[in-house]
Amino acid sequence: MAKKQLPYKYEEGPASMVVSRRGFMKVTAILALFIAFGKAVISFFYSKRHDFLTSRQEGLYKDDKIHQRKGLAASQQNPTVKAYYEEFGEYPLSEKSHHLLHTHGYYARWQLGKGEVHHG
Amino acid sequence: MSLFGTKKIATFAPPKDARKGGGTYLPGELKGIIKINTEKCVACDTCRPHCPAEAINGKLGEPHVIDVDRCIACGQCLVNCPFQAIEQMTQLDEVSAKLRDPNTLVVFAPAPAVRVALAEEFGGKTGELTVGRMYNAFKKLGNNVKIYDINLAADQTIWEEGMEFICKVLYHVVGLKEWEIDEETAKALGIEPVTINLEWCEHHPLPHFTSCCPGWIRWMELYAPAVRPHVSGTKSPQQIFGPSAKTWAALKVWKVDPRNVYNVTIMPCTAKIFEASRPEFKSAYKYLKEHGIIPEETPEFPDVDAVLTTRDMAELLRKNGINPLEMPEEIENPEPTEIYTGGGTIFGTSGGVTEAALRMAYFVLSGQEPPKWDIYPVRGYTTGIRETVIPIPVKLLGGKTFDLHVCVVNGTRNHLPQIVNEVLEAKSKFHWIEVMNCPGGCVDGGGQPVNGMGTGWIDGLFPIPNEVWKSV
Repeated sequence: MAKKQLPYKYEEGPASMVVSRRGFMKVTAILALFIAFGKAVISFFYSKRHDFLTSRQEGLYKDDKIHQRKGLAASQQNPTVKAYYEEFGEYPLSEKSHHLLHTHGYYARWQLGKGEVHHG
Repeated sequence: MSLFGTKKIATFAPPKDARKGGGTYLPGELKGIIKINTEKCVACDTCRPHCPAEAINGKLGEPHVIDVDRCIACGQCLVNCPFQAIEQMTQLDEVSAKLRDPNTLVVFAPAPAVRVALAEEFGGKTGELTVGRMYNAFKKLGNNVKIYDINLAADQTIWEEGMEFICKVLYHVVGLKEWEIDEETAKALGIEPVTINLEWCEHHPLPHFTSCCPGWIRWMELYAPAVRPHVSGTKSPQQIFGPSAKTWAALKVWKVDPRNVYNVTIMPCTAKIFEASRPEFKSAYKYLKEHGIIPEETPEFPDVDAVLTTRDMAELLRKNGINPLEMPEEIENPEPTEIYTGGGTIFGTSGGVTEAALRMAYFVLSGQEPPKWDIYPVRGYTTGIRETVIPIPVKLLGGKTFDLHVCVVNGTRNHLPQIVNEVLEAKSKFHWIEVMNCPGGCVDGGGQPVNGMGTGWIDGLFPIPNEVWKSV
């Protein structure tokens, strides 16, 4: 019986000497896994990159809540500040505050030594 | 998450000529607080894009150098260096010596951001809140130790700056020439119903910039001095603590000779080391001399004697064998200088100053407490710029609502220049602008424990300026 002629001519290319189709699929699948895993690791750490910062911020807001519950939410509720004004400071923006708690010393620093006087 | 703990940052003692002045420094001011160790620097160029002042020179491959005349000492380069090659000037030795002097009253003033980061240096969780343990740890350093919480000074700052801001609003928006504080408000605040003259506001237009961030202030002095009239004249909490401790607290609370008071602030910030050295900050000395409370011949002393960063304080505690995590949380005999409010403590995060100011300003302007103490729209978190409108009913306008336009700048780099330019071009729609140099606020300051797994910047994956991102 004559060998049946196929309607096409197929030969494996030279690359098949180096790696088979199955081999190629296996290698690329494993590479893809590594890349995906690597990307996942990077994404994981990227998403957490601000955690140290936001957890510190949350710590302060937690301290805020603790104080709100004690009736110390806002600065006008601080009894020590009231005592400061009563015993010494008189009132905000008083003459004493002007001299001790306010400043007029903002300098145009590149002009220092060239006759720059601080903003009055 | 501090998987691998905090990183060790090298420090150096102040060199002999550190206060010589010259360039953009006045005599007395500390120069060169942040220094790149050229032997450790691998020239990776990570620090340079972080700098809000473009103060780092050096091409990729060459060890980098900080131009001190441009530098604002904020330490953002330091906390973000992947190799910890950037070092900080420290006053630790001076403080240790004073602790050993029984005649000195060492006053420790911890900033808000310290209490949520100190634990990290001892293996605690990131953001762990340790107030009592922190106080007790400080007090264990000596019998001559007192605590005056910077959060209390922050509350004082709100009283002074809140009222200053209200004055500007009443002058520029409502058109008043003087402000008669009514009986009810005065009684609530515990002060006399005084009348405040508003004429000084003529030279202080809106928008109002906050002034508690010394990195921002030095940046402004170097790169935008024309906005000076807009910047609040109220000192920062550190510099309100200084004079308050050496006048009122020394004389009325602790009843000690002010000359024996040695003020040490504990800060998340390296620019605060610069701020304390500013020569104009000797107000307590001037006041005490003028009022004959200290002798004429007393040598000058500063309002704040030394600044320790959170890392410095951790080192001081370690040297003395003290671990705050092993101290009790209970505060045995709370003193008046340890009392603070929620408004004071949130100063350490972006938007905190604004929220605290609003909590008081709302009350003073409207006569009522705000509907909620929590004002979420102004919180910076990890967003670079927050713009919001806060409606406030104003008693002096018969209860009419005034829309307060507020801006919170969360980190100088990428966010501040456009806001400042708007003000310089008289195009700004804001009444109040808070500027914090460090992204996220002081909690991410140059003096904080360095977390190897986090990034101290909040825009983008790499510390590349926005202009470059947009052009790609």
